[in-house]
Amino acid sequence: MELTSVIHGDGLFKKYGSFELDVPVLDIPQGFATALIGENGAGKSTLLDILAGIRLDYKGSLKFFGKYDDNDRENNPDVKNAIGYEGTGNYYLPMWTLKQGREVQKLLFRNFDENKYIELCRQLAVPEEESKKISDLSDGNHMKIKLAGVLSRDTDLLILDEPASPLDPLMRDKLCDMIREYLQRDEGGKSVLFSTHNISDMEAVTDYAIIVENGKIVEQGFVEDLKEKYVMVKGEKEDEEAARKVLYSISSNTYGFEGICLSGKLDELAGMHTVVEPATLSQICVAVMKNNSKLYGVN
Amino acid sequence: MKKMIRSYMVFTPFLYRILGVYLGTVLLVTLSLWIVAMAGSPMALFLTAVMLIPADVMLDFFVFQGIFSKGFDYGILRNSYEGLSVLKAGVLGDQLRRLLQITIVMSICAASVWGYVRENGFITSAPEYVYFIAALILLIYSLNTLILNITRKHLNYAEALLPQMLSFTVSGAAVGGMFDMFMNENDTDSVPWLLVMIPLALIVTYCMVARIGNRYLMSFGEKKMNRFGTDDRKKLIIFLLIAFGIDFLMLPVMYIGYQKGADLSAVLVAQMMYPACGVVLAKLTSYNEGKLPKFAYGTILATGLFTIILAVHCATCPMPYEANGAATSVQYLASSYVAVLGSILLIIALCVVDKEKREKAGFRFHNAGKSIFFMFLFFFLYFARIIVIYVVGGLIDGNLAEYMSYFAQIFTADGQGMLWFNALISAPLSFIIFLGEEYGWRYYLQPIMQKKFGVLPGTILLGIIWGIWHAGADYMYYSDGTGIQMLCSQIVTCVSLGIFWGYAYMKTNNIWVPVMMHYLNNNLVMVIAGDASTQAMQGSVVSWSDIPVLIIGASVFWLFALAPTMRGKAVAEKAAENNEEVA
Repeated sequence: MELTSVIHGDGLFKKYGSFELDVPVLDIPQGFATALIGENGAGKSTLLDILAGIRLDYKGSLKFFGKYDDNDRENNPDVKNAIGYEGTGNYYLPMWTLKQGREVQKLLFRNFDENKYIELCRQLAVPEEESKKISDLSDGNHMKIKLAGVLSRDTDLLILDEPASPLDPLMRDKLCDMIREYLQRDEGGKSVLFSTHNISDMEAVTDYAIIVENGKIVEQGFVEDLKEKYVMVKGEKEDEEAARKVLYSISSNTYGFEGICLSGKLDELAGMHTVVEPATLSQICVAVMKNNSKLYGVN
Repeated sequence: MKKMIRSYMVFTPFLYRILGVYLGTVLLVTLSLWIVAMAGSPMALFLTAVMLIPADVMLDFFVFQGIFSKGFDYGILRNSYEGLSVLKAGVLGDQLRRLLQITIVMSICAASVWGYVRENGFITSAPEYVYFIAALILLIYSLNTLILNITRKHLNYAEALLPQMLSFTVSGAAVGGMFDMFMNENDTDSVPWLLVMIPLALIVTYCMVARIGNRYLMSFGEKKMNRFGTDDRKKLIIFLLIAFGIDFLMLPVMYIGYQKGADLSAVLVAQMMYPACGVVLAKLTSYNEGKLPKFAYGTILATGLFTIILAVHCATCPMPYEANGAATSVQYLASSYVAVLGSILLIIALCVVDKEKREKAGFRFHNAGKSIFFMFLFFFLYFARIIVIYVVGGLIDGNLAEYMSYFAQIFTADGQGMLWFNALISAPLSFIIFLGEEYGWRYYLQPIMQKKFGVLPGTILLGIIWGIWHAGADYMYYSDGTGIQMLCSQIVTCVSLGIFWGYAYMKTNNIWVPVMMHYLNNNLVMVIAGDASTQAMQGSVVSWSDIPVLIIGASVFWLFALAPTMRGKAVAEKAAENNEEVA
């Protein structure tokens, strides 16, 4: 299958005090849900802000939908209309009421479907009184209206910054459904890019994962490919020392150890009493993050 | 177009902006008509600098508060193509206003210079040189802002505010132009080298303003103020700019008053407000301060503003007034009333504001028992110090008995009862000016200094800075011809009081403790001197030999430098540690 990028970035660079975001090449596959995974302060939000054009002070060039560049994003209405962005912080101005929020979006976006917005708000159980101020909503409800806002527009790409964090488990499940449904609206034409640190909750909907650590992409790939590359190994206490040298990451418990191993290195474990299992995405992510995080130092 | 108007209706912050643009235009035009009427005199230039530019800063403050307040990221606006155009339209309106304003500033500069040259000819004396340079600086600044205005790309609150604060400071140099009103010296010989100096100064100034203004300050906008470091750093710089910048700018003004023999008490009242105004402005312009007691802060700022205006007026147009048998000025009387009004308003503001905001702004009355104990302790230590000074002075002079009788007179002489009553009772009517200093020194700067230099060194350093801050007053108000000695004794006093007040503040975490101490300290002077007028503090002759006596007397406060608290960690640090432990 020929893979096309919905966003292609070259030499993205942003210095922010002592923090540096440095992404030489970035490709977000078209037609899939891409998760941007990383610990707090890894640069996820900064990267998303750069892609959505919220932040313009970066170096490097971007290409959207294979034909538009950064300048088109600012000057050609088609690009921003095709991108739905939901950011953290004050996305809506806090003094707006729910009704004003709805009217503003009608004004701001050509492709905003008001009826769909009302329907989505009803489905998501957003408070009914429209005179309520947006700033008085709970975090969860705030996120719900933001999601309703982006989903009721006719877009080709969604950029969602931490959509799952303020939601309860039931809503997270619903969010995954909505993302799936969005991707299926137009076969292969729609893409979603979201950031998260709740990897396990969003695993069901993730097709492609990009792991960011300290402003750099440390691992990326389709989830199936990643699961082929990394496997889960469990073993007895006595093999732990020998295994430590081979495994990519390891954690021990009372009875033995478990850890993530690169598939290519499995042969080196021969002779030990180990069980090999497929790893989940969150286990892989934690292992990769651990190996690259400044929190853990050198493993 | 219709859509645009409708969007403005929805974007209420933009209404502030439009309102600000209109109000600002009216204000600026009125102000400049008044100034242009005086064009031809250096006074016009001075007024341009000291009135137009702060007015502009205030205006930006007002306009931008609506739209760039408290770290909005306007995700929804920037994400939308239409939203972006609304943002751009708002900026365009602001740019037009700025354009108008720059034109006004430039024409006043030109009118002032042209009128002056026509009357008096080109540079004939050294002060005129200062005046022309100042006019050039102002002109260059305006041009520079104009260019930046046209070329700038990104929106930021700081982008507008900070360069203008800088320009306020720079153009304060225009004050120099006023010197020729009372200095009259013919210096035609220096014209040739002045001709070399002017282009040189021009280039240097341009580089300075352009480099700093453009490359450094303007990049705050793009870097979201990261060049400035953290928000804390930004706050510190704004605080220092106001507390020391205005102090510095007022020096020439004070000097003018001093030359004219004006009573400068009103300047002293204003001076006490700068630190609090600095803290308040720093906090209000910060991104992460959250909810602040706006009414209380507004009261402090307004009191500061009015007292400063009265101070400038008092120095430039002295209006003598007789009070309690001593010469003072009408402006001093007026600023006393301003302080009374401000104090009453502040009490109301602090009563109505909710606890959370009061806590946030550091206005809570913590540890009541301990606080009152410290206030009484200060009262006794104050007199202990006086006794020590009298005893030591008496021993040196060899007539201890006479000195002790002086001391007894504080309590027994005729009319002292009334003075005591005044000194102890009038606190609620004038505390705002003492809060004005203590809010800056103890509440804001002390924790920063202590964190940076350690508890005791930080406190002592703060005392030294605080003493130096008084320099102008030491030379021109407190002393008569013995400025340097007065400054030294001021530093000694400030360091020793700083140690004790700092200690008391650290112990009680209650700003009202140092405020009350400062109040007592200043008001008891009148009781000691047996004189209710401002004369009690003025024109003393300090000799070098007085300073060791002062140091010995102050030792009652210095003892507190040995307290364990002073060797420990700063309160802020401790609090942070406690939080970590809890977390």
